[in-house]
Amino acid sequence: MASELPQMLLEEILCRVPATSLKRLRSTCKEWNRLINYKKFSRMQLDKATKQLPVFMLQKRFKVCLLSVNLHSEIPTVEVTGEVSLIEHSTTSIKYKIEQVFHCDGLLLCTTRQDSRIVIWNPCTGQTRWIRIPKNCCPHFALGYSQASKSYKILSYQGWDRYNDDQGFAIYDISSSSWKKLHVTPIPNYDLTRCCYATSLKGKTYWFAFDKKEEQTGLLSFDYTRERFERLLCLPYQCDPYEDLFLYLSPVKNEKLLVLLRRQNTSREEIWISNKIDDDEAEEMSWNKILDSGYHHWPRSFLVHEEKKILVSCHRSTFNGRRAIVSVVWEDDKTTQVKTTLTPSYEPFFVDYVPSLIQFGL
Amino acid sequence: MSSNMIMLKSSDGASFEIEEAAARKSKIIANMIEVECVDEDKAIPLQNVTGNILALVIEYCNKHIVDDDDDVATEEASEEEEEAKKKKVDDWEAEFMNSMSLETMFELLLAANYLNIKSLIDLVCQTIANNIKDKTPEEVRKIFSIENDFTPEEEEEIRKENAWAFG
Repeated sequence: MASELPQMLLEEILCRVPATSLKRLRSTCKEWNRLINYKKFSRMQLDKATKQLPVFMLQKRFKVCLLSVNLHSEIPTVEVTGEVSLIEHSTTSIKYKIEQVFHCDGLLLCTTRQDSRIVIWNPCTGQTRWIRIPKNCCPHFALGYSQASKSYKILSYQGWDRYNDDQGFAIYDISSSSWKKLHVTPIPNYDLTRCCYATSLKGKTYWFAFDKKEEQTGLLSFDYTRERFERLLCLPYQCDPYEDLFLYLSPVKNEKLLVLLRRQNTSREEIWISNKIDDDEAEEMSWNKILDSGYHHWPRSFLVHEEKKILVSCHRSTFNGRRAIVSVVWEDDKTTQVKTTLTPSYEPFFVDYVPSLIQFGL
Repeated sequence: MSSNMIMLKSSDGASFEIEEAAARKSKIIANMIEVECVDEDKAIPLQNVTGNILALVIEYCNKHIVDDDDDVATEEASEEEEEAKKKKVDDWEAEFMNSMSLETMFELLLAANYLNIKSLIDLVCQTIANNIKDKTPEEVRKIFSIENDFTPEEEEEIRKENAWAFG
């Protein structure tokens, strides 16, 4: 019976299998191998496969780890399910020192301060592309997807009040392997605030931004298809840009946005999750508050389990061999700490990582 | 027989009575009803579906038609009610799929495809996907009746490529 399956149904089944499993199943037969390597299939898989959450990565000096946090038991457990080094194949002895990681569709854009190169890397397939950055390049990088050219692009941008200064904005198209100066039409009076908290979702990149004229804060996005910045989207409530703090912006399951806001007048921190964001986002953005908790010393990053209303963060212990500790915070402010065997050399951070088979370039 | 009941006949001659609203979950049958090629006295013959599979399809459609009606009636239901209802459907679907063998799942998938019932195709595909995700290529070949057409060298080559990454 299974051998009579039309190709279309086989695709429907396989695109629901997680990327890490599909990779192993490539060797089933030639037809499956071809299908799994097919570019169009990998995009379908990214949309449909069950997101292996909570699965995320912890950054070490040379390595990233794939972790699985089991929140189903009363005491959460953390298991390392994969560990991989970023190795440059031509000079295998040199390991690149990852300092910043930007995530989009299972691809990691890794940057460092010492090197004049950045690298785009799919840790699930092992594909890498090293890219030389031009002189006088802006210090921040983001990764997104262009529907028009069906390829990934890297945006190099200025933060803070230099957003209006369009000098130096540049864009790299992975399919053509070239940088070009970007002549963005600046939306006047906008600042990118906390520009290091940029995040990509459905191919676009989002930042917290401040409209100096209207004195309001919202989200600004960059559309890689049209190569332009787009309007300010509303935050859950009218934040006071001078008092309230916008602490974090991140994607959830590759379909929604999450923000962490701290209200100055209540000393509470709130986590809000948006509605699903579609490719052509015609709908107004709406927000749902899922967690409201007392002040915590938030580390650089965290993850949220939407249904369980749980927040998971990670930091490095000051004792005990500087091991990484994963903290789980419940709705009622109860906190559990789980020790891991990992010894990161920097302050570790999470990426809400979705393993994918996405290939970039040719 | 009430006016909104219709008859379906499986390839092996079994007849089933089903509410029209439930049968409309199938786009093919819905189309037949639209163009009025359904004779009230005659059963619709479904040549590609056996009786035991058709019984499963009907069980699924009956269950989901009730839920769709509920959606209309309680449009302003609270979020918790919505969640509870969704969970009930999810639990029913899990139980429904749990009760059948892989062989039956494949037959059900072909039937759902033939009858064009999108939500059932999604459900069966997801269940099969969950089933094979932790299996070895060898086990998966058995499930899908696939011949291994790789040479041992080619297979080794793919394994080596995978060694560079998570997996």
